[in-house]
Amino acid sequence: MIRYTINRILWLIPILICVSFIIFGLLELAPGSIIDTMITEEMTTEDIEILKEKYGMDKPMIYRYGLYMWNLLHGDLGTSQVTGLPIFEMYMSRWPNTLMLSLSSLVVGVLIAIPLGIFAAKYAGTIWDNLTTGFTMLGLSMPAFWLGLLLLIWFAYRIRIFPAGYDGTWKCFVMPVIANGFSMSATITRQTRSAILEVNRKDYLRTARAKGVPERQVTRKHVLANAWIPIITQIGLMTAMTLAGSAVIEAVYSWPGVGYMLVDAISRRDVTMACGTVILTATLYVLILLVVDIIYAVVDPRIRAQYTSGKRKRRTA
Amino acid sequence: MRKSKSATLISKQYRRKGFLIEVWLRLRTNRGAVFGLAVLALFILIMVYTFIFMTPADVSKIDSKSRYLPPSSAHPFGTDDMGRDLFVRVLYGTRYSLAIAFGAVGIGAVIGTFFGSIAGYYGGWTDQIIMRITDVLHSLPGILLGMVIVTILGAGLQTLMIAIGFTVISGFVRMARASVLSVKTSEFVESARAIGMSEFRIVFSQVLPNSISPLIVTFTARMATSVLAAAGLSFLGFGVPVPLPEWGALISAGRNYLTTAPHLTLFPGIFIMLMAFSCALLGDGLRDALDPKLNK
Amino acid sequence: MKKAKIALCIIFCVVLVMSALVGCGKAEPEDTTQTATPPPASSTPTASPPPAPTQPPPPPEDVKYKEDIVVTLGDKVAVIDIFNPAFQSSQAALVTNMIYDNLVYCTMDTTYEPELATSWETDDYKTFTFKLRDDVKFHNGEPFTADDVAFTIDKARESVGTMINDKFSQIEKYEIVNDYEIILTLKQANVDFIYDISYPTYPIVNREAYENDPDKGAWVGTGPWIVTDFSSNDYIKFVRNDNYFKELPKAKTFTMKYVAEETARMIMFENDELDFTGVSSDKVDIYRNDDRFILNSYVMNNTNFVAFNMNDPLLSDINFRLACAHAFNNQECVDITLNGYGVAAPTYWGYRTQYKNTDLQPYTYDLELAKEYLAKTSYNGEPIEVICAMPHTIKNAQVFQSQMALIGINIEIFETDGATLSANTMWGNTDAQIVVNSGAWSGLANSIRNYVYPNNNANKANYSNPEVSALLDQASVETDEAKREQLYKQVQAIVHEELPYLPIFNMELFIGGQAGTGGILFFANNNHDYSLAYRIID
Repeated sequence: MIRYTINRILWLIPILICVSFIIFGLLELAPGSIIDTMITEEMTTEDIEILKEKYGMDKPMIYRYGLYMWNLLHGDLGTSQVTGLPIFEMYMSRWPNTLMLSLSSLVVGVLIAIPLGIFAAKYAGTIWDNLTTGFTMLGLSMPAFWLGLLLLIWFAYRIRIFPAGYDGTWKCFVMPVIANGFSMSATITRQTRSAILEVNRKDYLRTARAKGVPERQVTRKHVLANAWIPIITQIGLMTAMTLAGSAVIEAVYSWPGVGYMLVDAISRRDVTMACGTVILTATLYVLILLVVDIIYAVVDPRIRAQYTSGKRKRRTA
Repeated sequence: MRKSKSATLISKQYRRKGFLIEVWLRLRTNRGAVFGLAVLALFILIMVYTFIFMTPADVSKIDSKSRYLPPSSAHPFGTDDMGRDLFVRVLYGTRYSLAIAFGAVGIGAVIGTFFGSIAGYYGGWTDQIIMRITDVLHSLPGILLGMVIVTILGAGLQTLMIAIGFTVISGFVRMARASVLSVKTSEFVESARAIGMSEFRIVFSQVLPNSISPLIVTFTARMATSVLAAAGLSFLGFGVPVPLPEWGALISAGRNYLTTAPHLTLFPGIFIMLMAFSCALLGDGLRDALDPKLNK
Repeated sequence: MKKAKIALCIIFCVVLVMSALVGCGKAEPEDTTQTATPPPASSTPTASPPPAPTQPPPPPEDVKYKEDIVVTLGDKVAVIDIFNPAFQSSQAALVTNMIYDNLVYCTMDTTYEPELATSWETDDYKTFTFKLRDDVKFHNGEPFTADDVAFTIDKARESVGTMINDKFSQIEKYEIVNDYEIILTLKQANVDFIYDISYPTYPIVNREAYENDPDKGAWVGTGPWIVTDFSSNDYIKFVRNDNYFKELPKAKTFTMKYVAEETARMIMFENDELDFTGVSSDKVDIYRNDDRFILNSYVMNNTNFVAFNMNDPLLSDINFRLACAHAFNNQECVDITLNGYGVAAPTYWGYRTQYKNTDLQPYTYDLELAKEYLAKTSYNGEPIEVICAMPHTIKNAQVFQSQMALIGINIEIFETDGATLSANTMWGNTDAQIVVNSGAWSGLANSIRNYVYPNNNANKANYSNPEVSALLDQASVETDEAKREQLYKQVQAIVHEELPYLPIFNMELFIGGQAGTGGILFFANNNHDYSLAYRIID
């Protein structure tokens, strides 16, 4: 188990190197550079040359990339070319906002989705199930930003109960959480429902019922315990995705999070900032998936056995 | 069982045709899937109509006297901030969403399935490398990749398709690899080897057809998410160039007028929802229809 | 599965009804926008454009003032540091007007007032003697002396690539006579030097502040407000400097924040969460007649233009440019892009920039004449690319496209972001064909240099005419005002005839405030002074 964890963490390093190379390369390929966002009306070409030198733009990309990687391997994410502030601090100062938003959306989504999914599975085939399906379909097909805009108009303008921007109180959480959580809960509900239905068909349930095990125990010990895994996978994936920061929701609600930081870094061609943000996000992503895998192992002794016996069964989905 | 499997190998042609008909019959009973299919067909019809009867000029005709008009009989969806009829623009925009849904996902599907099949079939180092590259692709946030690609290549439909295509590749790689892995050790392949088929033919004629069903399911699921992703990118400003009326771009253009002219954001949004909804319904229906063991 | 169908229909109806409720039933003030004809453009009479902003009346004395003022910024502020190139943005002056002071304060366009300097004199516009105030302290308690001026000049000359470096590099040497007197000698005579040093983003900073605290030392100035909290790209919080040597603001705390989503900003404004905010021309009609709000308006000096790349073989043909000029109806741009709130520009010059040549006639709107000119060119219907980046310029490009289509010119719009636009339109470029952009103009006539002098990055037309350059060089050292005026008018005549730039309009900008607000000093170049903003509450 430990070996597996360490192996996964070690794989993180080449992945991060690849990711940073791709981002760095892509942004360099993009027309324009950070200098172009700083040029004012009165500058002449000489001024621009001087600016280029100051930001190292006159040296070839490999040189700059090499410098960046050198710092990175020493654990230094560098400073933003725009503000001069260390990227790690800038990211961390905004990350709690994204974290709170993601976690709230996730909690609300899960709290709604799992009971709903169980309910739908229990009444599969009836009108309740179809209503739930309709609801989840809606959640899956509604563009999050559209919902966000509609909520903004409805709750901040028509009925003035929630603030339109970020003001630090609990009130400003409601609308973004709904916008974010709606599609999240839709996916998790579907996953829960199908996982439970899948388990319901298994033979061991029939056996348990035939044996006379009370229904509640059947549900608890057999259905839920086995349905857990795909549900957790889905939740893990969703967590990872939202922690990356939803740039679109943050744009609509002026949320000071990390999602919009990335969009900003790209428009300003702030290469170090973009790389740094992506690296931090990718690291979080991989770490969360690792945690999910570990939870699998803790929850399901079959999977634990696979790891500890040395035979590594790779997840194929 | 063994006997029937070899028999089906020989009568592959017949089986396949019968299989498709079976699938269609099962699909027809699923009202949701039929609805989805009907809507998609409607969108395709609309797109054809706009190809024949509309020119780009109709779509961007500016009329300074009729700006921000609410929906009326002359303008079913109202007009936008430049006096352009929103109904015509939304209909014209169908082509972009269809192009993304089919084209972008198609690109991703072809590339992803190809690499996934190779990874699954050959295993070993090929498998490791391909899977790690997929991990890298997967950990790049989709929006970021899309934004950067659009920034480099310039706004446009092809660019948007490439950007979205990239984001769906990893799903197809995983799916193809899983399918291939599960079929690799089956008797189909053993018998094919026994007959003396070349490796290449084995992969493409035996392995792939059996992975059709997860492929279709992944394809339709991705269609829905791609339409939404494209709308999201356009919303952020990284989509098709102005004044092309892609639905996400229309929402973005209308977002400043939410309080005064909400119809500008409403109608494109409804269309996006309809499209994603139909793709999802169709996907679900296909998944159920292709899997005979699943009973409602 | 019939039930599924019913269920789906129910859910769809619910969604549609909900959305429709959002869509219909608008609030009362918006009824005016529902008419088929938009409010006539003459609601802001374009015949007599709005008057120049004047000094606001002094605030009344015996009323209660709101202690905390909240305003929104037009764009993000990433850093606060006058020597950092990243600080150069449209909002920089708003922030510097709060925190710092200059030696000289520019009140309206071209009149000056003493600020940190009590007086200045010069004989030849080459050597300037400044006498400084002796009673000013920086926010960190350090006294203001000539040494701080020297430090500012030195640091400016070090910070290559910034505008402050450009402006202060013209100072060849300085001589500190005593703590409160300093003599500056320029490399060559410059009649507009006082304007240069009065520009809000080139203030005086404190040596000790920078040396003790390299990060936050940049926030230390002599101005009426002290920075207490700054979150990059989000907000800046200030507290009043009670030791300020000039008039003390009425409010005690101030917040400037950036709200990205315009709808959110308007909602916050209507909910009284903001005291001041920019109002876009589309929303003006809603707030105009509402007693809860005050709309301050002024016409911006900056002029939007269409630039033809003179390096392009087709566009360097004067007939093509004439064809475009006669087919272009810039009033339609005003109506569509600005909802009528703007002034169509007859020539390419700043709105109230000095020495405007009013004898020049704008090009008439004559489609037949345009087609004649077009026939003389080698144009064959091939698509011509227009590049643009900002929201207003994108709209203008669309209007331009539809107008040029009337005479058969096929335009393709390449919409991009600021960085790409800048990269594609560098001086000497041969890629970009037509650029639709906005040109910054100060009150001084020498702003024209940016656009017609070779080797300038703002010269998007790649225009180069030795005659014009010679006239401009002459004008910058000409001390006789009448002669200078003549020279600039000559330049305008030549440029108007050669048509590298098609002028579009000057925007009318609106700053909305809650009822009872006032005190903002508006400048036509957008460098407003919010430091004395107040709000009366009763």
